[in-house]
Amino acid sequence: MELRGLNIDVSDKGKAKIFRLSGEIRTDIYSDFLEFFRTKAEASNIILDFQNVKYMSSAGVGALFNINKVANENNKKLVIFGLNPSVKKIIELTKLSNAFVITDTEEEALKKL
Amino acid sequence: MIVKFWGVRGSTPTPLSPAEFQVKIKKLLTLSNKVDLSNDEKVDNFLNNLPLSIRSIYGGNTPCVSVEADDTFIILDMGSGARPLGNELMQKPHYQNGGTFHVFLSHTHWDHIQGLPFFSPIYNPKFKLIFYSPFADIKQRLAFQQQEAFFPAKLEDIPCEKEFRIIKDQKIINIDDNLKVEWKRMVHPGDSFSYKITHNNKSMVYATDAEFYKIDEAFMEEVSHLWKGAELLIFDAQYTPEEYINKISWGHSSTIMSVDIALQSESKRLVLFHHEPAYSDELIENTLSRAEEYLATIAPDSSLKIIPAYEGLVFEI
Ligand SMILES: [Zn+2]
Ligand SMILES: [Zn+2]
Repeated sequence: MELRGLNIDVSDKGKAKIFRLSGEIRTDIYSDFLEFFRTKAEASNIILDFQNVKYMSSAGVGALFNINKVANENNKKLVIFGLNPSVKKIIELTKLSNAFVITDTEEEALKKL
Repeated sequence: MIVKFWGVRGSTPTPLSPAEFQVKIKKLLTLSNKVDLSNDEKVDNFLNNLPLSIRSIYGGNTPCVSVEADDTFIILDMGSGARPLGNELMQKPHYQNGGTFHVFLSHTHWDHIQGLPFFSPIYNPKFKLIFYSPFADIKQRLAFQQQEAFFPAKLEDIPCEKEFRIIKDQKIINIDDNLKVEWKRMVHPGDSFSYKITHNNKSMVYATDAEFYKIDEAFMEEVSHLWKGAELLIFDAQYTPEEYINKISWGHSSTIMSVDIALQSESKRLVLFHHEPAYSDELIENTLSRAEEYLATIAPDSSLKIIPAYEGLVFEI
């Protein structure tokens, strides 16, 4: 499916659903992005594959923070992997990197569940 | 247009405490050790090369910004910064025989109206204040803060001429041939309004007490279109990003969000405004560096300039 310039493919993998994202997470996507993942985070563990996310604004970090909160409240986990250096930097600059579980690879992400 | 900042602090007036003052003095003395300060020029030179947080203060007055365009004088909000503004206006030869001020209030939270009773021109019948607001009850709201229980002089008794123009059905206000003001409702508890002022085809935007949360595509598009290419975007940047996340729906944005909005609207300069009262001058500068780093990461080719607001800051547009 497509969400304002961001493609999302979903597949099941063991105890989690993997969402492979490609494109950009811009400021105006915030509400849709959060709504889309809110229900998913209530129902299962989520792994977000960021390898093909070229750009994310601070609104994306805010959305991830809230999705993570929903997951925690439902005893589920959110793991993010494959961030490119600039997306990683964005998360670091918001000083919220400790709020998320972030790994480099998919294998490591699966181990965090 | 000449834009000048008289109050830049959000929420409540925040004078520097004696302890904070001493910290500044101590830092200054430490840094001046072994510096040649033998004459005035050398002292000025030394001071001018220091960060503002050491040589001065960002200021504790609540929001008030003046905009002078030819003969028109606009006042954006009347927080406690309206007091020094009023005093300066009374000194100007231009206003010795009175004058008219066009007042646009973002909303009526205390920090945006508390300076009105201390704005000295209101005690002189030669002056006229025209209040523009989308709030239909703006007059009652302002009269309320000057009820006997709160202040000795009632709004209706103060000698200056007052006019209230309700602009809720009027999106564009033409003050004169080449000066117009456009407003847009912001997300804030109890509502708040941003104003875009255009003079001779150049514009500036004043958007304080604005939380860009739960923004959808339609709102974002409308805002980017309205504010597009502003020479100056004065924006609510009250919180650091990590503090913001714990204060969602309080009605304010973060420094980094303000960079996103400035980029989206292709503004040329972004002024970080409505500083959190709990933030020290050093923290304001630290937050600025992070906002600049964010800008460099997210939009390396952007020529956007980020300036933290301080009392006395002036722009000529
Ligand atoms: Zn305020
Ligand atoms: Zn407010």
